[in-house]
Amino acid sequence: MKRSDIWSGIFWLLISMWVVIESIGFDLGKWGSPGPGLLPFCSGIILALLSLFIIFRAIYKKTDVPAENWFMEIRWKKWSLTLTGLLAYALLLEFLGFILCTLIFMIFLLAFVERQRWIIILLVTVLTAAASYVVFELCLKAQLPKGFLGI
Amino acid sequence: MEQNIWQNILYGLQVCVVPMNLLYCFIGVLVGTLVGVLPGIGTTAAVSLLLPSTFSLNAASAVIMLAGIYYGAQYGGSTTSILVNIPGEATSAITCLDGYQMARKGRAGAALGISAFGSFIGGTLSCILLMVVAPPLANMALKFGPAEYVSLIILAFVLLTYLAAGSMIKALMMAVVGVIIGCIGMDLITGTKRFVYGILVLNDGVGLVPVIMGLFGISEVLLNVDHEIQARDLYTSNSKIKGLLPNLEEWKRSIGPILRGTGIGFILGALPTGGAIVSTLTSYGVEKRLSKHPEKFGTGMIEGVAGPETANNAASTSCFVPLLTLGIPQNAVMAIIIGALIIHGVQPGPLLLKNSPDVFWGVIVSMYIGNAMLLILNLPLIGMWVKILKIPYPIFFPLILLFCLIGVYSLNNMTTETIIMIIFGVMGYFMKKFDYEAAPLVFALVLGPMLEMAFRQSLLLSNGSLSIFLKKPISASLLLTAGMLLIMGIVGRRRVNKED
Repeated sequence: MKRSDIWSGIFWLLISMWVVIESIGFDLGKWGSPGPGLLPFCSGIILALLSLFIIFRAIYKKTDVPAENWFMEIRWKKWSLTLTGLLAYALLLEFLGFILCTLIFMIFLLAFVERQRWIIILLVTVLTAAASYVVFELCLKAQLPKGFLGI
Repeated sequence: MEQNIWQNILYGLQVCVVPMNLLYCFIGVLVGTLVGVLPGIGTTAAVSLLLPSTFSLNAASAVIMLAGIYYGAQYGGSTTSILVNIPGEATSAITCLDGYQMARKGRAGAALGISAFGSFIGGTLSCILLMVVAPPLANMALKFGPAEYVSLIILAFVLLTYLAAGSMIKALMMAVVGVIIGCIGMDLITGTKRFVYGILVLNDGVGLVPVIMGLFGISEVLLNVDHEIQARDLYTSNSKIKGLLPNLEEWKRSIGPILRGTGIGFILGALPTGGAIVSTLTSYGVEKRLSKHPEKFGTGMIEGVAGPETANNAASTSCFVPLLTLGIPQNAVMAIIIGALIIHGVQPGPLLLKNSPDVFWGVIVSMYIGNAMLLILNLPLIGMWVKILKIPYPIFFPLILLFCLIGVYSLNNMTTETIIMIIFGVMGYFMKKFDYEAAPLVFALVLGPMLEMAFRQSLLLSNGSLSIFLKKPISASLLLTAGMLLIMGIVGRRRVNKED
């Protein structure tokens, strides 16, 4: 039916095999006194069967719809830049501190990913940092990290 | 009995009409409308975004606010569908068909008006039904032991896949994946660590909030940045919306759809259908079938707006039935509310009515008040929401990301949890691209551990005999229903396939 079903089916099949193998190591228990491995083991088996079903259905079902190639149409550059920004924020938050990290994050997204005008970038960045500081630190007492500068 | 209900309403009012709770109700419906109007962010993401902000409140206020976001979004979603032809929420997608056509014919005001009034009527009637249905159901559920819970959860899983909007197999797969993710962490009975691999945070299991924010918040942003977003074509950008009150003829045509929509929404909303979406599709289908001019649907029929818009609001109220009586969530938002209750030390389940009547009645009565607030927010203030729609998405999406990041980090001040959220964000992105629904996964993530616990407890009670599930009458009948649905599902789908 769909090529994408074959690929996703294979992915879940691999995951399910890994889950089944790991679960055996957790002790399956016996009928009547299930061990910690039973539920993941059964779930893994069911997932494997369903994945196989998806794969075979995709192989044998004929279709007139041309193969979709959404993969080619995606602007991966912007996508991966956004993802990089997210990961960098998560990893650097404790080191840089909330305020510095947020300023850099917002400028990065607005200037390099979205290419907004500088006046908008500065306005949105400052407003966001200030607003989120007020909401999370002052109203919700979230104790955001101060970072190496201590601010 | 009747007097009891009035006493309960009075009690609920006492909880609700405290200035602070009114304020939280207002914040909830305000944020809900905002989120509903904005296409880039969904209800589930918004509710999980605001979850951390409820930690400092008491349980009743927290749930009042989170519930407000949920049903508030059903109001807001229709605005975007009607004016821009982009669904503000998935539950308003069907409204685009006739709502936008009405706007093009100069009846935008009537379309907005009827969806707000329909939502109000649906929400209020649904609230009354909820009050009548919930207490007896909770009393019945008090008799439930672990065996009944196992059967009930199994039935819920079957219903979830049976009623899934997309592929039944894929919904089932996602439910299984959710169960597996729910297994991660330390096993409570034996202390065995499952799938932990030395990562400390995982000892307590994968948190619900990072998973939901990843699957519904981050992934939605990633889906939106991967293509060029066209400038929104606001139909009323130059002219003011006139005549919010539908005329007499339009009212006459709408009253049937509104009443039917309430019924459809209430019933489908209480079942684990993953949200109000199915109820909107059903309502639209029913109205089209009943209409004398089915061919005119899609050209601006007010029935096609009134029915679904009422149904989604009725459903967003009735989905509190299983939550408040059985402690079982029926969609991702309800799962978050369960999480909020647990964080506040309130045990969801049949005992909720007895142990925390303030939560039970306070939330129900807050829905009346919230619906009234929404009517005011959405009719006279419609112009404000239209202005907000004009803010370009490139400015919005960094804000959404930032709120997800800080929200998850501030749960436990742990970097690992933000990383988990990002991983689920990427996973949610590819799931969308490969046509897998995220809702069954979240549903199973909450129910999986409940199922495992209840299953093992039942076997302890019965000394290891599996027959306990069939010997108890309630449990047996629930399992029987589940079995019948499963068979009907397989046979029914095959017949549909053959007809293709």
